[in-house]
Parts: sequence; C-alpha cells; structure tokens
Amino acid sequence: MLFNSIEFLFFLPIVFCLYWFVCKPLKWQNLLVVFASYVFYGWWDWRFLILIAFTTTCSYLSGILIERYNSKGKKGKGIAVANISINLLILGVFKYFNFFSESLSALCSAMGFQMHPVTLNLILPVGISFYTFQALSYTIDVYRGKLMATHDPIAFFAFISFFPQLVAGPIERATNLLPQFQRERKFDYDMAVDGSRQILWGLFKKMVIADNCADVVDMIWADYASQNSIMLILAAILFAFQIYGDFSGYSDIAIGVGKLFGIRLMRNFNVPYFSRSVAEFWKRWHISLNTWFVDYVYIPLGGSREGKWKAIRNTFIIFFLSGLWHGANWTYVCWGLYHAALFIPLLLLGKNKRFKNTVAEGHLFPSLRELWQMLATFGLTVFGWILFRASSIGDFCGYVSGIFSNWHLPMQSGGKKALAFIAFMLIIEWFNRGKDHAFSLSVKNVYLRWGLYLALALCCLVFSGKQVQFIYFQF
Amino acid sequence: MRRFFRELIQIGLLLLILLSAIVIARRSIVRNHSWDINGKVHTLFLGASHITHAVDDSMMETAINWSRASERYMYTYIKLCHLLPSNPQIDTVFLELAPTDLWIDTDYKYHDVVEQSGYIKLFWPFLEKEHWLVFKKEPFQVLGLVRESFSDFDDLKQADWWVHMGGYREKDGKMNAQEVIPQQEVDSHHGHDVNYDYLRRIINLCGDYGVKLFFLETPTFHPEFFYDIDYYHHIYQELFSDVEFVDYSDWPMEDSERADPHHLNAVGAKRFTQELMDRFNVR
Repeated sequence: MLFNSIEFLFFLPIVFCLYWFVCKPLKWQNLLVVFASYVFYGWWDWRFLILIAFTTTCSYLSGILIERYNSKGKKGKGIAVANISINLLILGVFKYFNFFSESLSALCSAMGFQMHPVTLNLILPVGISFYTFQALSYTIDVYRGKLMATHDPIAFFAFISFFPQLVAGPIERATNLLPQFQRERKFDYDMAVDGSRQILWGLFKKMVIADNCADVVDMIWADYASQNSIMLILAAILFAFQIYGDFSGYSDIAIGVGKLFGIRLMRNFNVPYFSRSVAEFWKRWHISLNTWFVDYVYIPLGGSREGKWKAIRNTFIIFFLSGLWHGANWTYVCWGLYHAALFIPLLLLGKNKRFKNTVAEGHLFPSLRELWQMLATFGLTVFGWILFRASSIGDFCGYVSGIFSNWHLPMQSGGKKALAFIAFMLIIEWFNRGKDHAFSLSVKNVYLRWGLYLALALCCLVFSGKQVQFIYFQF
Repeated sequence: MRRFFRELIQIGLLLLILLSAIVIARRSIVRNHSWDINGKVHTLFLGASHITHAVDDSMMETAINWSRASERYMYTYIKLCHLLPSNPQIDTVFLELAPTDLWIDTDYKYHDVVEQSGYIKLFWPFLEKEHWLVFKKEPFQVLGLVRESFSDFDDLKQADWWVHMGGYREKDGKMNAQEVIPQQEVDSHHGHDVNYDYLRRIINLCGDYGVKLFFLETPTFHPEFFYDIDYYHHIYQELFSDVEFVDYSDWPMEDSERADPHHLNAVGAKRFTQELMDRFNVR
C-alpha cells in the first residue's frame, strides 16, 4: 500500500495504537511489527512474502552459523559467501535475468550470430533491492565481527521487514536498527511530534512537488520530438525535482513513521541540490545506498589506499553497480558511469572531500562563488537525470538533441504550479539546511506552528497532482 | 501520549473544518454559475461520443452540441435540469440512443474509475444525495476524484467548465474496413437500472418543459459486430417507444468519413450535420 493512500490512513493509526497500548512487552511489539509489516508488504502481492521470509530466514541462520564457526576458530567465510550468493542470485534472477539475456542476444546479433533470448516471466517484487542489501549488510557485519549475531528471530524479522523502510529505504544497517528492536521502547512525545512533522513534509514533497512535476514531465517525454527546447529543459529540471520529491519524500515519511514507533532510521537525503560539487552531491543523495557501496564494495576493494589506478577502478565499479542497482537498463548503468566520470577528476585532484560542512554555514545567503558552485552542480546533475529518465540510450540522444535543435518549435504552457511549489520547498529547505529535516520547526508561537501544519496539510489535499507510484518502488 | 493524541485530534478537526469550508465554497461558486446560453439557440444535441464527434455545431446558429464522450444519462439529466429552466427558448433536444446506452450492462461506466475520472471531477458540485448514492460502493474512489478536481480545475471561470462539460470534438483518422475486428462488449455485472431510470427522467423532464425530444443514433459501421442489436431494439420498443427514434445507424457513409467503426471524423461529421440541418430545418 502507498503511504499516500486511504488504506495506509487506516493502517497506520491501528498499528500505532496496538503498538503502544496493547503490545507493551518488547516481544509483542516486535511481533506486531513483523505482522504489520507482512500485511503492508503482502498488500501488493502475497507471493512477495515467500521471498522476503526466505531471505530473512537464510540471513538469520547464516548469522548464527558464522558466529559459531568463528568462535571455534574456523572461518565462517563459506557460510557468509553462501548466504551472500543466495541473496544476490535471487536478486539477479528477479531483476536482471531478462536484461542480461536480452543484452547477450543483442550482442550476438551485432556480431552476426543468431541467438533467441531466454526470458523469464517473473514479477519484480517491490523493494527487493532494498531488503536484500539490508540482509547482506547484516551477514557481512557479523562475519567481520562488527556485530553479534542475534538469536532473537522476531527482532531479526522485524529488522528486515520494518514496514516504513521496507520497500524504498533507507537501507538500514544492522548495527543501527537491530539493537533498537532488542531494547525497550518508550513513547517519546517530542520524537513523535517531530516524526509527525517529518511525515507531513514528506507527503508535501511527494504529493505536491513530485506528483505535479510528474504531470508535466510525462506529457513532455511522451512526445519530446515535438517539444520546444525550453520545454525540454524545463522537463529535465522538473524531473530532477520529481525524483527528489518522490524519493526524499518517501524517506521522510519512512523516518517520520519510524519515530512514531520510537525507532530512529538513518537520514537518507541531506539537501543534495545545495551541493557545491558532484562529490558532495553523492554524500547527500541516497546516503544509505552510497555508504553501503562504500563500506561493502569500495573499501574492501582497497578504496583509494592502493594507488591512483585502483582508486579509479574502484570508483568506476561502485558507480557502475550503483547505476545497475537502480534497474535493468543500460540507461541506469550509463547514468552511474556518467557520475563516475564527473567524480573521478575530483578524486584525483583530492577535492572529493573538500566540502564537509553545510553550504553558507552561519550565513543567511550563499556567496556568489557558492551560488555558482551549486548551480553548476545542479546543472550537471540534471543532465544525468535526463539519462536516468530516458527509456533507452536512443531516447536520451533524441531528447538532448532536441534541446539544441528545437528552439523554433512552438512553446507550450505548463509547470507553473510545480515551479511555484518547488520555489517554496527550496526556501524552506534552505533556511533549515543544517537541521535533521526541513520541517524541524523552531517556531515558538503555537498558532503560527499549527497554522503552518494546516497550510501544508491543505496543500497536500488540495494541490496534489494525480497519484503516481513512488519511482523508487521499481528498484 | 495523551497530549500527543489530544493535539493530533485537535489538528485533525481543524483540518476537517477548513477542508469542509473549501469544499462548500467551491461547490457554491460552481453551482452559482449561469447556465444561460445564447438566446438564438433552441436546439440541443446531448449524449455521449457518438454525438460528440458527429454533430458539428459550428455549422449551426440555433443549435449547440453539448454532448461529452462516455456521458451517461444521469449526467445528461443533471445538465437538462439546469439548462431547461434557464433557457425557455429551448424547444428541441436530440439525445443519443446508442446500443451502449441501452446495453444490459450500461451502468458499468458509472463505476469504472477511468470513466468516473472525467465525470466526478466535473459534476460533483451538482450532485445531490440521490446521485451520490449511485457511487455508494466506491466512496473512497469518488472522494479521491473530488480531491483531484481541485488541482485539475484551478480556474473557476465559467468558460472553462463549459468547455469541459461538452462540445463537438473533431475526431481524426480514417477507418480501414479491412482492419475492423468484430468484438462484443464484455459484461461486467453492473446492470442497467441507473441509466434506464435517468433516461426515463429525461423523457419526463422534457415533457414537463414542453421540449420535443428525439432519440438519435449516428452512423455506425456494422453495429452488429459490437453490440447485441436485438436486445437494443427490444428495450427501446418495450420501455422507451414513446419517444421518436431517429436511427441513422445504417446511413451510408464512406470509410473515409469514419474515424473508427463507432465515430465519424470531421469530414463525416460535416456531411451528417448537413443531413440533420436539412431534415429538421435546423439553422
């Protein structure tokens, strides 16, 4: 079920009340979380439950076995490798089998050999990339000795399936989330209020920003060859905000809902469009995925410690994998490699860790230099989003060539409402850029505070676009 | 915990009050729009897509085509309830009577979400309790469409609503008879009570206002390929034969005058409209 659906409007209060009023013992609360999460996930398709239950069981058992082997002086490497292989195999079959089969067939055809691709008629389970990576992080952390294997299956099932972050992240680390399911949770008023605010802000970003942008973006992409260049540029910019509103909105809702249950999820977005370089952008965008790749792929491969060429190789690998993670299409891979090409020069010049603080920290407005840096980074990012949005490389090339050649075509109107709301969002995010989330209000006047809540809620109800599925559900 | 719930309920109630105020204001503004039309117009063409694409009212000064694709008779009835009192000069109504209007499952279009999305968003300010009850089995779906109407129809100017509520629409394309595949409508078990009921109400309403009502079916390519024609004629004879039926379904037309088997294109619409103008002396 979607967060912005009637079903969730009933589901959340029921689970919330049961959680705090009925299921007071810790085990009961965890059991409720598992049950509610399986209902939430099974709402899409009950068959998905078989897969997540299998993945969870394998990872749980592998954790125990790894620790048992490690404690006897034997390495649990084989168990870890087996569990990782099983999880990646499942992910690979459901998500990438048809893609690789068709790509191989196309390659053979290009080389003059006839090969009919073998394809499987499988539905891609919602959120499989997210919970698979979450399960893998547990296995690897237990193997490395960073985490004790849990012997509490209910807590572990709750960790993997926790419904707010199950289908679109943040991809939680076991070291952060699992202990929270193993200790008592008490209702915290301030945390619940902050969580409610974050949910409201997330709904605003999704329903008002993302869904309104989607209307215009879809219309322009449906027939980009006959669109004026300015409309094509506008659609590219709107898509940048659509995907941001959609994904960061979902993350905000997920984190906010987690706070209602006394659970702290990791931050997934940190005002990425105020980044001053591409390197900074990747520290602020989809933080949970990027840190996952750094911790479990980049650093084990040697990171940047083993010379310049290995650093370049490792950077390409993680950006390639990041692109591939997003979907079974060469456009995603090219998008990842595009960002690798932008990141590597910064790495080689030692400028990838230049910006550690928030832009214009301690100042009301950015300097001209910072403004230029943000605009340039945003422009480069938007160009990458065109590749991300295109359904094929050919579409991407057609769209980009249209930007340069369609100046003579008639202009259409559209996007004014979306742009107005984007401007509002950017102002709020700018003035709260150093805080946990953009709607962390420090307004003391209760009438003003409540007025803001009501205004935002009314915007969500009155000005939202046509309901569009969260983009990241397909990943 | 109590404080949290108390504040949540208070905000929820405030939100509900504000939302209700917005809905009531919107409903009031839209309902108070004038339904007056040009005093020269005394003939209306109403119904669904067969008429929407077949009657080119730009050729006529004394008639307007205010049909709309997929329109069911409940919506047509609502239109007439407002149009007839405001425009006493109207003396003739041509109402589409296609097989999809007298089909055994004609009510499915009241409940299908795609069909609803075009009508609930436009008509909700005019719906009364009896109309809302038609949708009692899908309340959330309908409420969602009412909500969407606020963002779809930001502009409350009368002209915009008028345009959305009906009008002649040119349909592109030329039918190729070789490519037509006979395919009967699939029954989805919603029945026909609502549509037949409102058709009868339209007949009675026109009678009350002294308006001459004609049923009109436009030229269709081999209607028996797609509809149960025997049932269609049987229902007309049994329930609605008190109204004159002007049946042009078999009127000879070239393939190049049809956009598809059910609808005329612009060329066909011009010729058909001329035929109606000549036969009924509409100018």
